[in-house]
Amino acid sequence: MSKLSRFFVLIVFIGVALWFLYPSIEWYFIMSQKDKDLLTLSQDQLDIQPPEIKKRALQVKNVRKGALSLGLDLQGGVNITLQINEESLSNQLLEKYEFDTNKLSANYANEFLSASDRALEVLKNRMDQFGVAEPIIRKTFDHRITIELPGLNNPQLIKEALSRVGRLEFKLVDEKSMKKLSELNVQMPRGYVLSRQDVPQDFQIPAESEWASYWENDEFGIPKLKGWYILYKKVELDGTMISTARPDHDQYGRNYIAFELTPEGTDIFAEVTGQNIKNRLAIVLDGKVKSAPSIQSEIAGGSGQITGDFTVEEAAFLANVLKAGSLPVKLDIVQERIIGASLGEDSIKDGTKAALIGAIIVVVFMIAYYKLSGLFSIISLAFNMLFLVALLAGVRATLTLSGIAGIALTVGMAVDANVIIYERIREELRRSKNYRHALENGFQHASATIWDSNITTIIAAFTLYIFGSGTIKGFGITLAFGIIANIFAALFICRLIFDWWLDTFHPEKISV
Amino acid sequence: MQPQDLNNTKTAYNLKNTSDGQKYKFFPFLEIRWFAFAFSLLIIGTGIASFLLKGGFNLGIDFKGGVKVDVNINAPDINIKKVRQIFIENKMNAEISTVGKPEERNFMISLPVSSSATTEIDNLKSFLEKQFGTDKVLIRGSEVVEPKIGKAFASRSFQLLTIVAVLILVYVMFRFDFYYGAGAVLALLHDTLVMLSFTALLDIPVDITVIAAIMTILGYSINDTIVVFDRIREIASTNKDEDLLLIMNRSITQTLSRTIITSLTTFLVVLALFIWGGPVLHNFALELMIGIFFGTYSSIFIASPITYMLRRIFDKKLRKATVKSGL
Repeated sequence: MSKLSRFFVLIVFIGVALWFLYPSIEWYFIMSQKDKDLLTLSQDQLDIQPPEIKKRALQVKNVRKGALSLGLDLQGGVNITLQINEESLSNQLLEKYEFDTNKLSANYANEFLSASDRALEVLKNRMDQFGVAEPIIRKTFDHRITIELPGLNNPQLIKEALSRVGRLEFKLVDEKSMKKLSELNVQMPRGYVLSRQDVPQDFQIPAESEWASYWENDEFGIPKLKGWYILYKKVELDGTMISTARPDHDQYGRNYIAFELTPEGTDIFAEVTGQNIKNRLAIVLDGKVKSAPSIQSEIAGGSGQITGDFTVEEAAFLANVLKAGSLPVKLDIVQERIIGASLGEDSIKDGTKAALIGAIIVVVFMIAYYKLSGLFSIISLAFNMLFLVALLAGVRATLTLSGIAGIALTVGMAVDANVIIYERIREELRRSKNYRHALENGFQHASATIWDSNITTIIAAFTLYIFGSGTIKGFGITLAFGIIANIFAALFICRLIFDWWLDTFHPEKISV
Repeated sequence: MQPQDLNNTKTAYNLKNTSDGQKYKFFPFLEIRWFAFAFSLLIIGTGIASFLLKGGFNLGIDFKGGVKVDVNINAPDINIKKVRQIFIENKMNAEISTVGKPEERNFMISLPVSSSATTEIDNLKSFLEKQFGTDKVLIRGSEVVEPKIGKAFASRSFQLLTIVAVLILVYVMFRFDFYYGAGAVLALLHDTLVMLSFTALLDIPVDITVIAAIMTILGYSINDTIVVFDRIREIASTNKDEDLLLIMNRSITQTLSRTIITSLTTFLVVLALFIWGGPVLHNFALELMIGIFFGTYSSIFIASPITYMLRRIFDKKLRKATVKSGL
């Protein structure tokens, strides 16, 4: 590749890196506290704000999502303690044991334990799903659940994520009543009642039915009341009968939601769908209708699809709603505390100072030992760091102490790649005094060594990433990205600087 | 500065004739392998003895679970640094963070549970009262938490390391041969055991940071080892008739300046963390310093000698280094 095109490649990479980094820069250095505070508003608080504030809130939310987050150990966060709502649990169990209170009390302790286990598992699963970075979820010995979530700035978002843990039910739309309404000329352009004001005062809905509000997410991702359905009160099946759900799209790019049912759910669903073809089956989360797809055919195989005019976001949201339904227990937030960094603010200040001193030592050493070449390696090290941090921001990684260890190792190994190259060049120089040749050979021989030694480390890093979990996973990804940035910096950027220097200044020799 | 500096110290270097008729200076690394093995075994043996005598590692709160106490200390000029200092002075292994605003002086203190949780909380309260005065300490809340890392974590980590080792073995076998792969993996095992030995000997509490340090060193040490192997392969490809022992000595000597410079720079970074990084990073940095030292040591004194010996035992015909040439 010519020098010009290599330079162009470098510029493109820097551009991409800055693009990845921009949200982090905006969040940590530019955005005002007032804007950040918008994230603490709850949905109903935000609802009464003027549209431009709502729009700003959405922008802030997106910036926060794109920014590199710091782990609990580095920045502190929120500590939330949750407790199983025993009243709702015992109601649920009473149903299960067919109102036999003796049987219930005999089994209650076990049922409670298994409910708290399930709740823990589902919460863990849900944390990933809502994109909260590296949470710590633990049971306490009195069977509460404590969740520690990094970041002080969005407790509301987190509570929202937890409170979205709701009861999911499927109820049939009372098509008979709906039809009666349409005969009464009530406005229903999209199949539901726009306003209950339109419904005549004397309209009676059957005893087995009830009004249910229909909510759709608006452009800001905030649920908005859109209208009303009349649903049968009977719960046909509930969220626990859903085993998985995911958004997908067909060959024409139309989005749909694919879902699978538990064995129990399969039978019930087949029966319900078989008997109610052409009717609508509403998906109800916490009493709010989220969607009311019509049944096209009997769904017997235990898996089905919800099709409709969905955007990607809508499909993803609905799939999440379906998944959220499988949490069987109601949890109450009993305590919410804002905690400092678990390593302590003092430790982080010390650690930053020490890391800076360490970096300065490396810079001084490299320049003192390798002179100009040392300076070149420091420049490529700076690019290396830029790419590493950009890659981490790009995958929305969370920086924790172990992640920083990965970065520290990267600095060590980045310098190493340069040391391998320079020592090799020195060896070549002992054989011939031609600087260009020595440089050429040095880079060529060293690159084989650098590839081999780094590939073994990459194998280790990717294994940790793929098979590890939590902290280990984070460490693995940091290390893997670090090595990729390393190889690029040592063999591409550093080489480019050398070539540029030789071609521009035609030096007699270069101090290596 | 010239890297040949090392070669000028006449006393330590041997001159031997090599097959291509040139004279090379090198240090007899492989000849002293038994000293190196004895030294490593001594460390690991002491570590195992200490592990057995103490009945296991000193487990940190991450592994053990413990009590989390939310406490208000209503004393003037108290801050997290001072609270931490008091716990360190009394050799108590606690995790401390602030709750709410720093000026409210609420702290979350986590301690591993040794006896029962309630006595632990009572002990902590009386300890704090002794330090700050009876009316100054208010326990705002407490809870007993399960370990952050479950019991499965240890076996899971072991599995992970095994997978890593096997994959590295396969890769090195593919790029070099089986003996080199075995040498590299045994050197890694050596590094892990040495670090665990020091952890047991120095009573360093095992928590997530220790695990992170060990993983960091594994990545570091394998890199070092491969650089030496690479040089062996390179020299061997041009000197097919030369004795493997000589080639290895030459290779280790030639890469020595690089090995030392890299280890030195990384070691200095970690030393800075150790000195100025504050109490939280202390153990982490200490583990890394041990790891860097012994990781470097193993790439010089363990990996190549083991490769050499395995080859001598199992592959008598192939005592000459016939390895596929480079990239």
